[in-house]
This record gives sequence, C-alpha cells and structure tokens, in this order.
Amino acid sequence: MRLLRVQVPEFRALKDVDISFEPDFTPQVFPLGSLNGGGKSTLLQLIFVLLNQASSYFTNLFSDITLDGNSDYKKLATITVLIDNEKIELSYFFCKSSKMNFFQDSVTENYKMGFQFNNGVISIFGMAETNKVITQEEVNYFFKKASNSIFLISPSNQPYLFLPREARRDLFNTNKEKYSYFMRKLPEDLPNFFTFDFVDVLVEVFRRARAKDFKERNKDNPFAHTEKLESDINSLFIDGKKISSLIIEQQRHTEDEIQGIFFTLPSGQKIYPEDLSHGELKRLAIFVLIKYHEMQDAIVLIDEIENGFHPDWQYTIVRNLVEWGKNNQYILATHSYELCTAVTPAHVKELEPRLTK
Amino acid sequence: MSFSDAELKKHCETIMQSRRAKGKIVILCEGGDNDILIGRPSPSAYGQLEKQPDANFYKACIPQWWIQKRPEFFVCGDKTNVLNTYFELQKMHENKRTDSYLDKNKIFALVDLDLEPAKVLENYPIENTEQLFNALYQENKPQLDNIKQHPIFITGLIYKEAYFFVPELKETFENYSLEILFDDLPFDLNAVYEKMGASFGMDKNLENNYSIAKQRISYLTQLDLTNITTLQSSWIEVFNLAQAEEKTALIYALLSIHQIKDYWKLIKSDSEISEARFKEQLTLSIGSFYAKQPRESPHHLPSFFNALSTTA
Repeated sequence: MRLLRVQVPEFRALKDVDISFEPDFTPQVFPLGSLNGGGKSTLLQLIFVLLNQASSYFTNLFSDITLDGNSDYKKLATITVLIDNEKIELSYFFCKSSKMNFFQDSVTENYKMGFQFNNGVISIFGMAETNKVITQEEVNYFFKKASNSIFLISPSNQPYLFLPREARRDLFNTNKEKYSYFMRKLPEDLPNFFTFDFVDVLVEVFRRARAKDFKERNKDNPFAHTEKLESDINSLFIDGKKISSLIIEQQRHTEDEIQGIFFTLPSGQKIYPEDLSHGELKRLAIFVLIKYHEMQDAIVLIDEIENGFHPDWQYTIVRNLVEWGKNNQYILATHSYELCTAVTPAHVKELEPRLTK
Repeated sequence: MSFSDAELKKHCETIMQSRRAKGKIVILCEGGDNDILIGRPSPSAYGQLEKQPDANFYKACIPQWWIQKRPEFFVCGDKTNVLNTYFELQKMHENKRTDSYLDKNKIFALVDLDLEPAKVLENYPIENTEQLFNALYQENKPQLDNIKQHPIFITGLIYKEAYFFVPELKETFENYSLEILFDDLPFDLNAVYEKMGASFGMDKNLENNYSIAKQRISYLTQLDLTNITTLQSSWIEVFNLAQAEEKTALIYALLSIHQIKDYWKLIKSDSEISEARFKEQLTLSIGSFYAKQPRESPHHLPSFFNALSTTA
C-alpha cells in the first residue's frame, strides 16, 4: 500500500496542502518538513485517522469543525492511495445532517459512509482511477486493509488531536488521569498507533524468532533466525553492547523459555533496556516495532524521528528503516537536515507556512 | 574554475568554522556550487536544491559499520581546488587554531584519478596524482597500508561515475525498484562493457594521454599496449575469451582509463520520473552497495573508509 497524494484545503494549521508521494521513488522514504507549528504532526495524525475506520477518533479530530456562513458542506481532505495496484481516491466532506441527501443525490453510487456528530456528518466518497464506482463491499475491504497497513509512531506525552479534548487538556495536569486512561484505551481502537517507548515486546520478538528456528529445524544453522535477530540488534548499539548471548544460548534450545532480555557490555557487566542511551533505546524501539508487527507493504508515519539522535544517526536511520522493512513507505515528520541528505532533495516534502490575511 | 587566493582563503575559513567538522574526520572532495545551501541547513533548504549535492554519493558510501563520528564531506569544486584547499587548510588551521573546529590530523582529501595528472603541492612526498595512484594501488587493487600513509586519497577508477559500473553491482541493478534502460534497451552490465570495448578506441582524451594510460594498465600483459588501436582489439579479444575473474580485471583496467561519463548518460528508466531524479536515486542505491561491504572489503572506496577509520 502506498500513500500517493494528500490534499487538505484547511484544517487547523494546514492550509491548501497538496503533497504527492511518488510511488516510483527509491527509497520510499519521504521527509516532511515545516516550521514549528507548521502542521507536520497534525498532517500525520490526520492521514492516520482518515485511513482508519474508527469513528470516535474521526469525531474527536474534527470536534471543532464549523461551516462557513451559509455553506451546507466543506471538503476536509482528499487522500489518494495505491492499494492492490489500484489507485483509490477518497474524499472526505463535512456536511449538515440535513444535507446528506445532497451528496447521495449528486454522486448517487459513490456515497459510502457517514460519521454523524455535532449536527453534522462526515461523508466519504471513494473513486477508483477509472472513475469506477466503488461498492460498499470494496470500501469495507479498503478500510480493513488500510487500517492494517498504516502505522503511526509518535513521541510519548503528546496532545494527540484524535483524543477527546478533555484528555488532551489533562495532559497538562499533574496526575494526567484522563489522558492516561485514553492512551491505555487507544490500542483497542487504533492498534497501529505506537509511541517510541515500545520495547516491551522485545522478548516476544525473540520468542518468535526462536519459534521459527524450532519449526524449521534448519540443519545448516538451527538458530538462523535467532542469530540474525541478535546480529541486527547488536548492530544498533555502541560501545560493543550485545544482547546477552549467554541468556539466549542457554534457553534457545527450547521453544518458549525466554523470560527476559539482557544486554552485556564488553566488560561482561549486565545491563537492561533502561540502561541504554536514549538514542539506542529509540532505534531499538523502532526496530522492534517493525519486526514485531511484521510491517510489510505498509505506510509508516513517524513523527519527530530525529529527537534523541546525533546527526550521524539522523542520517543512518533512513538506511535502517529501509533495511528493517524493505517494502514499506515511510513518511517522516522532521526538522533534520542530516536526515534529508540520506535521500534526494526531490524526496523532501514541505508544508508551506500558512499565510495570514 | 580554480579558486582565486581570496576565494580559497574564504572557503577554508568556512570549513574551519563549520560546527559539523568538530571532532570529525573532514574529507575535502570535488563537487559543485549546488552543495552550498542558502540559509540555515533545514529540510526546506535541502528540498529546494535543484539537484542532489555531489558529496551525497560519497556520503552514501560511508560503511554501515561506521556507527559514530562518521566523516563529514566538504565540496571544493575541481580537483585543483580540492588539493589547494587541503594544503591551505593545514596552514590556516595552524595559524588560527582558536578559530578552527578542525583537528589537523583528521583532514583528508579525495580526488578523481582522471588521465591528466594534477600537481600535488609543496612539501608533499609525492609530486602528482599519478604517482599517488601508483602508491595507493597495485594492479588496481588498493593497498591499505599505503592508503593509511596518505591524507590524500585518489580514486582507483578514472572518475566517480566509473564506480557506478563495476561488475559487483550486478545485483544492485537487477534488484532496483524500477526497470533500468541502457541505450534504450533493458540494462545489462555486459552490454555496457561490450559498448565500452567497441568505443574506447575513439576516446580522444585516452588517445591524448595514452602514455599515462598505458603505464596504468601495464600489469595486464595479455594486452597489446602498442597503441590505442592494438589495445582496443586485444582488449576485446581477451575479454571475449576470459573467465569471470580475468573479465573483472579487464573491466577495472578499462574503467581506470576510459572516459565513462558518456555511458552514464545512456542510463534511463522507463518510469515517469525525470532522468535526473532517477539517476540521483540510483546513485544513492549504488552508494548503499559500497556502504554494505565489510570492513576488510577489497573494493576501493570501502578500503579508503577502512583506512580512515583508524584515525577516527
């Protein structure tokens, strides 16, 4: 699946956005730049929610939306994606509840679904490249596939626009009860949303690798998957840190005995994930996310990827992403010049500053 | 065009005062004005460049195993400028240490081999770039210990573009995401070599500098080096009968003497993206091939980085 184009007439900081992501560019890594407050995070969250069929998050995202003057509707966004080698254009409108029929009448076969809220409705129209009508079944298939194939990885403790307003506001309170409650609930509805502090599945990643070894019983190397995983992870670290081979060695002859992961320094000292540097931990988290979720042919949106990385790693993370998930498309909201130099200038997409009246 | 004295000094000052050079290995290389950004380095400034900076290829070649304190490239224009900048930088840094982020022992230069030797400068044990080539390579194979001795590295192939055509890139081309065309036909490295073999007898630059070229490939005793015509006919004859290893040696020899840029111009893709954008992206994928080589790789560019890493 590939995101081909996103158009947003006006939404929060975004104004007249029209960005194309060329499907024949190599690598499929697109840095997205703007000034602070230029709407990078907003755009990523918007794309993510619009390609998920999670109605409550639609309504949170657009909770402040209003219609201008006597207008009966406004266009929210158009997203064009390539899915199963077919180009699909999805247009999202907000209209008065009383005007839903207007859309049904004007594009009779194309009206597909609506999310009702705030005396209005968000309607989605799907159009294939050949102007072929998309059936309801196809739309359902599309959203099922899209929501499985789009991922958003963001920093922790952000006022995500798709959370209810009270949860966003609560982020700035001391105890953050409501914010924490909604964040805990998110994986149920948006299972492909992650923050960078996601290393708790590392053990599971090792269990899976070992399960594959166990299943395949490769005569040449019975630990091929585990060793590849170890090698990949060890290449993420500095100062010779290694996933403890001793622990893996002792336990990998059985299928499900790994209880924890340790690291060792060259001196032999054991350390734990919390002892890794911020940059190492972040690289590990992204690696684990891609491997654990077996992200393939996916659209992966990553916000502020460079935070915590030295410029050297801002550059190499682009290579890492391509190595870890070869068939994915990555859209990286960033302020990093170094990161951009890992691709060509044509790969870089920019949100222009919104002009004030 | 070469720097004037004032331009040279200003260029050196810019490098000395560049924050990104602090604590890093600095490599001066050839490249155009396009690498100079307008304003602060940002995604926006990079995105507005009309073409990819020349140094991006070499940057893409930095080995994957080099995780921290990776080298920084500074473009200086042509080969003479690179060499002049290297020596001037040494002097200026010595005279103005408090105004410099550089470490004198971490300044290096990288220049193309070319066919016309460029004079290296005063107080350097080697007179010109051809002598440097002879010091760094033996039968076109890099000599790691010698490379470590020289802060100036010269490519073992004629130009940077020659590194886009080595036989080891076969899989990189085959696995590329777009179909690649050469001379409007599906890309095949063998077709490139055949075309080179059929054409290099008409290479005026090679003809004019034949004595240098002859010396450069004299280790290939199976070739008739009497003149460019006999070289061409013997190269074709030997190449057609050669086994893989010998073929590779013949190709490397040809890539060290023959004008290669014209062949790069024949590379296209059948996609909608422009030829220039396609080539920029292909170049980065080629860089990635070199970056993936192990530390002890026998390839030229990885050997250079291996030698450099000992001073990091």
